[in-house]
Amino acid sequence: MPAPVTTILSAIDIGSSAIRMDIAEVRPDGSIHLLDSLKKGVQLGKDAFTQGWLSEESIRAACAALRDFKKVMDSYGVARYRAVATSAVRESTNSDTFLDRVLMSTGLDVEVIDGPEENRLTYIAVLESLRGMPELENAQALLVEIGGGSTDVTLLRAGEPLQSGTFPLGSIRLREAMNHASRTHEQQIRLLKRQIGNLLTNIKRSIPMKDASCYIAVGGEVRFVGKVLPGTARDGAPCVVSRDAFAEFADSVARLTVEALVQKYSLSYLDAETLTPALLAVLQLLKETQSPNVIISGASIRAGMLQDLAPEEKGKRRKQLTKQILSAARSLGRKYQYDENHAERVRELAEVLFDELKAEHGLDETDRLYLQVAALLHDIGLFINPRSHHKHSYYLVSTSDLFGLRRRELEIIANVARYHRRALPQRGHTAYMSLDRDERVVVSKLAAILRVANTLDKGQLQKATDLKLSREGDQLVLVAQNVSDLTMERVALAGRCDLFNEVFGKKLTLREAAKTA
Amino acid sequence: MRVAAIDLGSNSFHMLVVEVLGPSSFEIVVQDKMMIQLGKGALVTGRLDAKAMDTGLRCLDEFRRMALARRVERTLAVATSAIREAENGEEFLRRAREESGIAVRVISGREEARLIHLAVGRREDLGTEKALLVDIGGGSVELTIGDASQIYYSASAKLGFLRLQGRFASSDPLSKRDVRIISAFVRDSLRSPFAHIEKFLPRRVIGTSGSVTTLLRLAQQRRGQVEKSSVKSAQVSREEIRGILADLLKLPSIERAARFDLDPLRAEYLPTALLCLDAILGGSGATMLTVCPVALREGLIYDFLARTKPLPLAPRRDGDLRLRAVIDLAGRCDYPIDHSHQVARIAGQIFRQTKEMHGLDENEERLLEYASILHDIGYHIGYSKHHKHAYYLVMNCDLRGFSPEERAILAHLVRYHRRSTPRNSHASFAALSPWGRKVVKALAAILRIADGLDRSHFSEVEEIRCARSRKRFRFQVITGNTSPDVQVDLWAAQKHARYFEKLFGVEAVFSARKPARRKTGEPGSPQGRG
Repeated sequence: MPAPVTTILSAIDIGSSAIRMDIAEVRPDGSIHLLDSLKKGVQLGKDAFTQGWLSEESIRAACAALRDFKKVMDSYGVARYRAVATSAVRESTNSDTFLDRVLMSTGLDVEVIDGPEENRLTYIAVLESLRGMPELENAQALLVEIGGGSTDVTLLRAGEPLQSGTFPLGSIRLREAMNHASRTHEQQIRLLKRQIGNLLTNIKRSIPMKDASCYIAVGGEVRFVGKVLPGTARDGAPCVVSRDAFAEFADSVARLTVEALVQKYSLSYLDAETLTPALLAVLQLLKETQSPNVIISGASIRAGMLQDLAPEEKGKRRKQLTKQILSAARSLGRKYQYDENHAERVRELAEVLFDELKAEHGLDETDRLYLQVAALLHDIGLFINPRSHHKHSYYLVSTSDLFGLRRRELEIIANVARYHRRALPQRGHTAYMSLDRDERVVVSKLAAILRVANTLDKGQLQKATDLKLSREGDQLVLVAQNVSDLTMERVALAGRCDLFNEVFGKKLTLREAAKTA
Repeated sequence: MRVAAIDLGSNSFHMLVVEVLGPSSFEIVVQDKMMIQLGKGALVTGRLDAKAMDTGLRCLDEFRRMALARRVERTLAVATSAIREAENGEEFLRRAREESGIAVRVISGREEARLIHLAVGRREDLGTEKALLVDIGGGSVELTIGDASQIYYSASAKLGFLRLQGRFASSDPLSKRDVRIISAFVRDSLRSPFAHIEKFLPRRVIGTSGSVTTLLRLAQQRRGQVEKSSVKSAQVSREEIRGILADLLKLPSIERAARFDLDPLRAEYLPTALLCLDAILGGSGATMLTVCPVALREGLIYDFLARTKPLPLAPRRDGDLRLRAVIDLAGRCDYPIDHSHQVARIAGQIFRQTKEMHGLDENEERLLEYASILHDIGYHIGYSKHHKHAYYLVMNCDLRGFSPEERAILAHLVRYHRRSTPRNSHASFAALSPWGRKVVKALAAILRIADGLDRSHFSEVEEIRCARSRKRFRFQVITGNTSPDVQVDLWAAQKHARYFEKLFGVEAVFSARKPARRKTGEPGSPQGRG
């Protein structure tokens, strides 16, 4: 029997107001083609944002929908899938039970993803859909996705993410907050605008958007605008709406009550309820930028998930992502006024050590990335206080949003940064012990390298060229070119080799390269 | 302007680079140290050995380069006992000047004492009570009697730990005999200075230098304190010192270093330093030691600042000093200036009109003002949980002029300005003293209302007038806002007053009013028309 020429993938997204699934095929040339798209309305968000947990009714509805989706997946012969749940499930206290019920009744393994991961997937999808658009090439662009529970904002420069964050500004949340019968529609709208404004002040502080000259909006409500406004695009292709046209449309929608919207545009009640809050939020954010129009991207996080699942793309994207993650790390460092030169040198030294010691540590590319980020950010704690700055570095890294890295990964990196000086990882340290065993081992190995790399950026080694590592029995010898006496550096190194010795079972010594005649 | 202070001590060479912020305040940019231990041989033999000198000179060169990279404009470098007393000290200084371009000044013990006293005075409230300042160095120990305004007595004793250990240590760890001999020698040497010190009846003993700050860390570890903040945290009792000494002396230095997480070079000499410290405490009859985390290098900077701009010796608990520190911190975190100061203003008005309910005073009013300025600094780190970030920043950043308890109160105030309210199930809140808890609750209640009122609900609150009638507490908001949504905003402000209502057992009622017509040139001052 001939081997299948195409792979069928599916991506499932359990959101605040609906569960959606895309099924696509990956052709041999790597291109991805959508085969089917399904949607079932399930009001998880209503439960989550009002009472904080998912009701029995919602859970049953979700399981029923997913069972149907599974049947469709089987009929297409889906080889690989990914199912994720976003803010509604994430913020419910009974999310674990929910995931378990889904697994038991459908066999589907659902993963709850955090803000940064949502951002990353959206970003991949949007980039893909905007490929070739000149607007992205040069200036700063703001990518906004208004979800039911949260909003993801990413600032891009020349297509690369500079900064990103997830904020609790969501259309369902906004809707819930203003549902008070005692007010007129006009009053409700004014209150809504006021509330959006308040939330915006804080978003602006986290993400400096006033210089963005390009504005890309993603999400169901925005897509609706694209469909309804005359003269705009076909399916999938991004459409461009001028700022004025968008503002006019948003205001006209705001003037109508929910019932009127249902009538006029044949929307479901649920969709009509979130339309005004979402559009007003998109509009107010737009006004904070320089962009003369709104680029409406049809891309959804499912498109991003499909891209992610497609094997051929993975390697290429990994490289791209690494570059972007490092760029995001540098932005974070600059925010805390770090010593850029020192950070880069420590990163380079750490990379050299990591690569040379592959046989001893057996870690992979992902771990290498963690080391790079930890090396760049190990001293940001100095912003808070030089005293115990390693602990402050831990705090800042573990609580920051770094594009492309998940919470768990940031926790690992934060631990590596923490251990770049002073105490070694030990049982009494809660943050370290809350990692699982494998993660703790990774932290110890990377921290051992970082401690040494940090110490090596001193004295003459700062201008030493070509640091080479050679093995002599039980010793690892670092040979530096173009240096004279390294006594002082050796003294400094002696104080920091403790973890290295323990983890790698080897002694580390410095040697000046023999001078050639 | 950036200034570097370099201290070439007998034990270590330290460099401190600071950014000058004001006539008596600065922010640390970077610090570095190297344990060159010039005094190790020199204090015994009288000469600096060649190897140590070379290493020391290279360290100076490294410092010079670091200073250059940090755009330092002035470098202040001083050398103390080891170099001062060595035969070839001059040679070292000459080479330092030639090879690294740093002009090092040799200072006397007396000058050392003066500078340390200056630094301590800027950090601790010395007041009018005389305190005994003790600085334990590698070569010498400086003993100074001073208060906020002057020094009354100072003596330099050749009892530095490098010196003592060099002379008397026969084994590692020190033998019981070594301990006895060192203690006896120290007591003897202190007889004469203490005869003078007694006369001043110092009320407390304040210790400075690396050995003392290490002591504090060990004491905190021993107490099981991690990041707590009680008033006693900067103090160590004599009993604890003895306990720690006993623990340290059980192990040889290498194991000691591992077990207590000490720098191996520090680990070797710490017991001797503590023996000396213990004897000093004994001689002064004190049972507690206050640890002040400053040293000669901070003194150098303060001295430099004072010389370039004349200043009284001790600004003391000046509102200015603390306000300056608070605004400096807020500025570094890019705080929302208008909003924060507006909140401070509104909070102050509410504070003054609710005095009979909270019973707090001037000092607490200041704390409320500072908390208002700082309440949104957490946004610099992140959006969600910014109140917790603010807590972390206030607890950990350099904030001058506050006692540990005041700092803890400030931190809790910013943490409780939104979301959850103060409760005993929060461990750090429960760890405050009863007074601290009372202050936090009352001030947080006020801060929440003040913040709520400025949350672009009322963009131009001019004044808040409060009036109480039995169970009702009326907040009359006088605002320039002429929007018809005022009623809607009042309802929103009500939400923020819930904690206030609960705490003081009243019902809060909000109303709004436009300012009364003003006479030309006079700020709004209503003519009694409600």
